[in-house]
Amino acid sequence: MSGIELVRLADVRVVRDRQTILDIPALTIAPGELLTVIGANGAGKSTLLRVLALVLAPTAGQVFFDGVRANPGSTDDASLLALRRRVTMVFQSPVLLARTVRDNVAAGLQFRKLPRTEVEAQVDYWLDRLGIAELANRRPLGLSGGETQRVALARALVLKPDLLLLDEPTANLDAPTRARLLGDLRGILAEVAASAVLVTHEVREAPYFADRMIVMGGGRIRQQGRPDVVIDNPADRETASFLGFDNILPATLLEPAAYLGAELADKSFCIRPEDVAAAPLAALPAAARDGSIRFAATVARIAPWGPAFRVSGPLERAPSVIMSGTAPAAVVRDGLVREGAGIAFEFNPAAGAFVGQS
Amino acid sequence: MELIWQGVIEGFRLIFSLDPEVLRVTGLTLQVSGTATLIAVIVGIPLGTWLGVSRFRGRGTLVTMVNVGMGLPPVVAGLLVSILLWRNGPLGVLRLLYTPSAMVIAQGLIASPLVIGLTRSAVESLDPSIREQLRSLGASRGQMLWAMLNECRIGLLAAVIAGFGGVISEVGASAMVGGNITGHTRVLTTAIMLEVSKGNFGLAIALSTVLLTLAYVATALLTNLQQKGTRR
Amino acid sequence: MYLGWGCGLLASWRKTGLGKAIGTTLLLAVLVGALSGCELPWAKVNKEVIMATTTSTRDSGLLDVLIPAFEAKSDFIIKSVAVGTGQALEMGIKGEADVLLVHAPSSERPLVEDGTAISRRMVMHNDFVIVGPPADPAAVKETASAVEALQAIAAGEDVFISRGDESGTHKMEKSLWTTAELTPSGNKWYQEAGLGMGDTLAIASEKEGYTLTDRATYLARKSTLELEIVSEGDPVLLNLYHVMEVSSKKFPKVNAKGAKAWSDWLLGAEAQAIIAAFGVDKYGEPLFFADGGKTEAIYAPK
Repeated sequence: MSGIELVRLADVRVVRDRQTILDIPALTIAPGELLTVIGANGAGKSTLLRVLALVLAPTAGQVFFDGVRANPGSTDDASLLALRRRVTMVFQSPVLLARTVRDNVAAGLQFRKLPRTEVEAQVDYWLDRLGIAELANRRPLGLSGGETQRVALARALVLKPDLLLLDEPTANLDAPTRARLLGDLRGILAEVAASAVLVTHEVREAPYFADRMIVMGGGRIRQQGRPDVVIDNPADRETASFLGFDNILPATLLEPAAYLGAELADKSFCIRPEDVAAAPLAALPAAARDGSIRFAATVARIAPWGPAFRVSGPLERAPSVIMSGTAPAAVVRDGLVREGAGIAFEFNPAAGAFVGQS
Repeated sequence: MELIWQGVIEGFRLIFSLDPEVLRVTGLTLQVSGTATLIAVIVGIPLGTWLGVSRFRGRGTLVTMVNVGMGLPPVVAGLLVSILLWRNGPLGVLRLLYTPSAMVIAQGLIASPLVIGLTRSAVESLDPSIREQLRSLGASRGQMLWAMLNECRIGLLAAVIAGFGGVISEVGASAMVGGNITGHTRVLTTAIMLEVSKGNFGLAIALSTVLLTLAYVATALLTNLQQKGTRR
Repeated sequence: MYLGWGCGLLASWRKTGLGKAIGTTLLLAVLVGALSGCELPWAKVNKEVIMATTTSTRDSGLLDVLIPAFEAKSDFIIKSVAVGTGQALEMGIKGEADVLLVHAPSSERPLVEDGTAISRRMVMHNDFVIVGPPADPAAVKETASAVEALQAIAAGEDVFISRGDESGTHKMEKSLWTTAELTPSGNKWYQEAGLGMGDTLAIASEKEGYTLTDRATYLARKSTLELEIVSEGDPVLLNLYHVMEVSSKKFPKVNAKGAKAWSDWLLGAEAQAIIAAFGVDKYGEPLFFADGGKTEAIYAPK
């Protein structure tokens, strides 16, 4: 490995059916860096992964791997193959070959024509490391989702890639399995010192896993930065909405609030419903708590949300703006919060963020 | 029923007594049909694989043509080959008419669409993302295709069995281009037809028994190959 | 050989792309098919003689004796292709056969007249007979000639099976109907089988009907049939066999030497003796009568 970059994309565009589905002016991944990519369906995440995996040739632009230009189709076959063998991808629905788990894990090593004793040693190690050693002689049919993913991971990791790409590897798994898998994965990646790009829908998982988070939308990178920062500071309304900020209000509604110094005219303010308390007006003390803002509203919709309820409705002072907050189950059951009733949304602005106009 | 039973017994007697004429006819049957199947496999599996993985305009038409070819009446194939190989025909200079080679060509023409079509079907029914996933494991183009063929080996062997079955049982084209000439181009099927037309039903049934035994043994071997490694 | 081929195929596939590889394979496949049976055919002097003859001639079994006897004495190999008379003559007309052995004189003569066939010589004859069910509902046994027999069958509307395939037998049958001034086709009792003589006899036996057949095929099949000879001996029923060589002037590709060698041998003493003796040990009477050196004029109806 050389330099400070492992992969670099320059002016990469992918056009399909006359639509630009990926447009990346610049992207760099450093050796050993862990990235996570989030975005709505169709945002271009899988396309990005395929370009990074060197299996999809971009319509325009260059892909550099370890300083070497690598465009499938424009570089000759043998050297491209050599580069491609340094990247491995784990798919959302991995296709296991019709052979034993052990042979599946060995497949990539066999493509690289490694001697059999070495193959066996590596395979045994990784089967063990991923906790699937007892599945070694089983066949793909009949493995659970979690087991299949572990096999897919094993067959990718055994290849000691410089870059590991994971396309929503936990999407089809239940919560406890997902948690276990990701926990193992973090440790393994640290051990292997590979770069990794994890595409996921689960925004919550990202900070735990990655050094950098990329938000994609419409084929473009909307925002990137430290996961914990990005999650609470969306750069635009679309990203805010994707990150769970259901409430996006014109910032001017927050006036007058002395501690908010900045010019509010063009900005939006966003806050998550779980940070907004919805309570019957009558039940609340006369004034909002110190530092909190209170808006009066009318209840339009009530929907269950875990142990509590999500309540949403138009604001009294700005009927075109709909806000949603959380109300405990008790008040809903007692009928204190019901459709058409008056309600107050109360929140601390520090729990939200300002978003530039997009 | 008596006739059939006697014929069957006579058939086994012919097999075990190694009757020279029967041996010769059986040997030629195997040689011709075996070669034809081999040619169909060598030509058909690559073609079928290519047809299964590629996408281009006109592919649908090609697939339809292959499918129609699978149902091609063997006598039509025989007629086509005859016309080509006639002395005064385009390939007449090869002097192949009424030789086993002509029969191999005709049977090859019959078996090939079967192998192509069934291979295409087997390859197409693979999970579409398998190519990408094999590539991402670092497979070269050749390794990827080989692994894919391995994945659908059950379908591929079905293609071979179908091709072989189609030609070992074929009589119309073989008679037409071979002439059913004693000692030169008589195979089991044409021999059966001859004996029936001569009224020797017993011998015809006996030869049928030999043919069925031959077909059974060959197909059983192929089926064994197909089912190997699919123990679950 | 195929292994090296397969490797070559894979190699060429990767280098030059699929299209060329497929083309190469097809070419190689055709060549392999061509070579799998014999040595390069155009490298040798042509020893094969293709004889077009009829299915009834083949079925009589005579050729199974004649051909090996000839091949024992000659370098040539006779490939006997047995088809219907019409097809056999057509093969001669197209130059696809080297020599013809058929028995339909009226159809053979045009071939000699237009130069397609040369050296037409009579080899042997057998005769036709009319066979029918033992019960003989049309009382054919009481008729005096073949024509009268057919008239009786038509009058009684008894089942009659015709070859219907322009074979020598069929042409003989048609000429008899013409002489009898009858047109049987279209009637329910007149059925055209479109099959060889053996199969036609089987049908006639099954349906308890009448048919015209050559004596040889009938004798060979007698044990499996429930038919008897009901009319025989009429001179018009004679079936004359001629051998003709296809003209190499008209068709240069014809194996003229081989055709002549075979034809000459057929007319020679050894072949004629075989013909005269054929069938005696099996049926007690010969199936054919040797006619080498004679002409058909001697059998013209008076």
